[in-house]
Amino acid sequence: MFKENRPFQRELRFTKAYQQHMSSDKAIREYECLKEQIPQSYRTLNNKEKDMFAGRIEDALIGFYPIFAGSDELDKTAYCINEHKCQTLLANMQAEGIYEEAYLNEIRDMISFWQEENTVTKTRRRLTPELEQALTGDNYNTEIGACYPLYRIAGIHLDAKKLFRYGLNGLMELLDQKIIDKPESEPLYRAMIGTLELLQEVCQLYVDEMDVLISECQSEERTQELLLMKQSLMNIRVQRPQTLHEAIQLLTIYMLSNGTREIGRLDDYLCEFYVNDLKNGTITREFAVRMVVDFFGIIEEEFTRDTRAIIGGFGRENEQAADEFALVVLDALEARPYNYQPQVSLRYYKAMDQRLYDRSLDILAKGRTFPILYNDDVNIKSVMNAMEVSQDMAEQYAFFGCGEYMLACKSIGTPNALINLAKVLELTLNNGIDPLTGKKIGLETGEMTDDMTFDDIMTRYQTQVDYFADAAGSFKELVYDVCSEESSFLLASILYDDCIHRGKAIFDGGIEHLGGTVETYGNITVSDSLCAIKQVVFDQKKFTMTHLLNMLKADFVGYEAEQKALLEAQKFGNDYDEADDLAVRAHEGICHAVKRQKERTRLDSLLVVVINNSMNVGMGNATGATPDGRKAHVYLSNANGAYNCCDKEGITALMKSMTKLDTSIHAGANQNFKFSTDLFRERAKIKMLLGGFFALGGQQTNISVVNQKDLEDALIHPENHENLIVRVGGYTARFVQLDAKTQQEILARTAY
Amino acid sequence: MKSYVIDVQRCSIHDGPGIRTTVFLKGCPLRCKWCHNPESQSYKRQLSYNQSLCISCRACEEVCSQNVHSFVDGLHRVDYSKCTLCGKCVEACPSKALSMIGREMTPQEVFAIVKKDEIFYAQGGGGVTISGGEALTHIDFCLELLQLCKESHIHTCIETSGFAQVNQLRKVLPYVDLFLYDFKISNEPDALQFIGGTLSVINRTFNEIYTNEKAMILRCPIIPGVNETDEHFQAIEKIVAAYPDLIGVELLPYHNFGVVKGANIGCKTEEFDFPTEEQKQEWIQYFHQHGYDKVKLA
Repeated sequence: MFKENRPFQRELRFTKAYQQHMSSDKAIREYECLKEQIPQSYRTLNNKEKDMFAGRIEDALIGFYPIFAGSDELDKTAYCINEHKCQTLLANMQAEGIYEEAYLNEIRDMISFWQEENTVTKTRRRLTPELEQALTGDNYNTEIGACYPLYRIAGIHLDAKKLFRYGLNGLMELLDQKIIDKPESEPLYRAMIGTLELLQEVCQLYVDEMDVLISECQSEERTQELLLMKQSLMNIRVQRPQTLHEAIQLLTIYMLSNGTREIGRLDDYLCEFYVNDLKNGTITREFAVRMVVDFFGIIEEEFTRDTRAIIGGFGRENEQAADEFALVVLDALEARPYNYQPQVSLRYYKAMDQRLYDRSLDILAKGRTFPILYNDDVNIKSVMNAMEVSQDMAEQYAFFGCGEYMLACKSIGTPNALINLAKVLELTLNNGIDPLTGKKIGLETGEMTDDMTFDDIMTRYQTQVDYFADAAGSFKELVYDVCSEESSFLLASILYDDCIHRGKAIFDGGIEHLGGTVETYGNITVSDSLCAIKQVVFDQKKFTMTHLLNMLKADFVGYEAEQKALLEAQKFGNDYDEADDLAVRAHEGICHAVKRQKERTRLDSLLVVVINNSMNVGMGNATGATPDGRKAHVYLSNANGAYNCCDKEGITALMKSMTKLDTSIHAGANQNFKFSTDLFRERAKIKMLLGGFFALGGQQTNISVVNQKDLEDALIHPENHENLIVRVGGYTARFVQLDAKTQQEILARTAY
Repeated sequence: MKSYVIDVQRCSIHDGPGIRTTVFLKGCPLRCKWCHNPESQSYKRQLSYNQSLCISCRACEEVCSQNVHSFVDGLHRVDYSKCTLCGKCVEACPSKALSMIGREMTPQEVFAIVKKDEIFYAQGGGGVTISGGEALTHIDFCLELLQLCKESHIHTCIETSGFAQVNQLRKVLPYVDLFLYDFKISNEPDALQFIGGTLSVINRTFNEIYTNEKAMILRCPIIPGVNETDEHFQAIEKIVAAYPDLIGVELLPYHNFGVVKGANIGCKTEEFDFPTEEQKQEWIQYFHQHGYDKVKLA
């Protein structure tokens, strides 16, 4: 259990284990490190009176994690160090003056060691000069660039069914057998077995804690609960789970140990336990709701990032039972009105259980923004085409974080690069030079001249897009290469197809589908800009391209009439042919540029995601004026949506525009709809609207139901609107807690 | 054949069943004192000036050869009577304070927009609603648009005050699935005073529609001080009793959106008291107590 007499004890032991096994097999080294990390990271229950499951964790400052946030706010992966926190803590220790110099030196040595040895630094060291130029800098919050790297392995969806089918012991037996069948992979299998033993150890630690708590407990009711927890922990230590409580308990410990936050399709993998428990009379429905509430609470509190719990959809083994359990999940969602994690998401399809759909709309009507709706009737075919997989595989698509698609237990969908497309257009207009910094970031595609055609501009833009897409592809491959060289991601590999069978870790060729995503921003700002250039400069000939460049440089000051002409050009989101056609062209340009990385690399797929969090605000801040009439430093378009308040023809027109963008060439796009409470009250009409959107090919919706007046009032009297919840893009937040620019961006979205 | 169209509003959800596209035609023979859409009265285009958007840049004054725009003590004054509708000031206005109401369109052009939302209509009884102005005074335009819709199996609806000629109405009857029939006033003197029309014409239209077994929803704007009276409520009650095939009756409480819209085109619109929530509930109670559950608040 987590217990430190002095700071850095865990980290020092972890480091020692690593150093002692520098030359060992990487799987063995990882196991030896995890031995010093996993059992020592678990804390006692948060709430001794109420918690229904054991599993609370204290992250180390140095450790092995798939995704790890440093205090520089940038992600890290595999062997990680939170350097800033380490240095601060060390400085405090020095100031306190109670630690002997030898101990402090040991810490200093350790920090210096990891400064060089952490996986991010090792990745960065491998960047070629070309990649260095294309990937401007690591910090997308402060550095100006077109393409930024992300160091993370996000969105791991574990195979919970396999975990439940075998249990910890069963998995160990399977691995024992594999050692005989595939002796060449023995180190990996042994490391896996050792790591599973660590989880048994964690169960035992909590059994011991339960004994203490039971002995202290005054309440009969609570004693019964503690006894249940103890029993579950004892059982899952040695056998596969038999009850809903045992299943959730085992999964909790596995997820926390691995640093996995994605809950995935819980209705599919938990429903049989639920139905059995109900049949046996061992639990009530209310008790099941309470368990899910508690489970969600742990995931939210232990991982403070976006995560998904998915219900509904095709490809569930026992659909009827899964729907019943999905209704339990919705009750749990409703019971946690001010929590945004996990982001409960419903996979919709036309013939689905209407109780589930109606219940979801009831909750959305309350302004909760959940569940997020995904349209299986569209998504499965789209995933088949985008990832080039069979229908069976596509039915197991899942999504994580802000909405990146991947194949549960079969692929990794982590994004490792962000592209600011508005900046790419800026570079196109300025021969590869960023006008804000004067730095050369892009390719030299030539200066703009007044005799060029619109198609020339489109071609040059695409050339720049291809360049950054290639950079994103090469970088993605590099991240996987370094992860493979450094580690085996043991716990993930155990529950990922087809690592055990192949005797290979995820990144060594064990994973069935080596995928990935690239986040793009400002997509519609670009297409609206292209449309404005086409209509105002080339068709109406109101001014020339070189004049336009002067206007952009001046941020339209002194060019107000010209800005008005640009603003009046057609905009995406109104079902207008030309604006939408250009959006389609730009969309296909970036999507195909990224998709074809499959041919350039060893990836099975790399796909664009148009998911958006509030980064359209930050990236807009780093982007000059654009030809759509947008002033410099103002937010960019969000996700797949019309630019704020440019959708003037009604929501059906917006839905039609959105659904013109091909969904089968990317891995997810967010469709934000801001409905007024008045409209959403018209349930029958809302169902018709959504029905039309889905029939058109709408793949997903983020629905905010808000009163525009409340948003306006919340800016003046935030204290009165603490619970006003909005969907930003890939995540949900309290409106009053957002930064001022993001608040303005949301306010400026059209409310229907 | 063309008519002036104020707006083709997609995704209308309050003008008939399902998701609809509502076409607002410009021009109406009535002059209801409370008119909610005063910009729909004239059959011509009109200049509209929205004071709240004006930034006093005086670009309009510069381009106008008719002296429509003047700035007195920083205040923008518009002399609508001088306007020749050339549109130059609208073009010059950087803040969209000036706009032109009424766009000349053919039924085919309107239909192209209507057709765009077919997939939404198909989700449950949706379609097109032709409103106004008084749609039935644009009969040839309506006929052509309705025929186009019917060829594409789109549900059609006309909103009317009934102030139209029966022989004109007969032309479109076969192509209309539903009428939204505005029932505003129930005695001749009030009709003359408050809506500027005669009730006998309106009643004839109603009978023609009803006897042709057309689906009809009665819409009753309730204006305090005008028709929020026992007599009028009894008249509504009588209709509901006498015409059992009415598929619904909606009470539309007065709102004053028309006042600002009227001011923008230089036309003064009278203001009435807003009904309170209690008043509205009393109206509904009245009908429900008399056994007319189909009467609802819109």
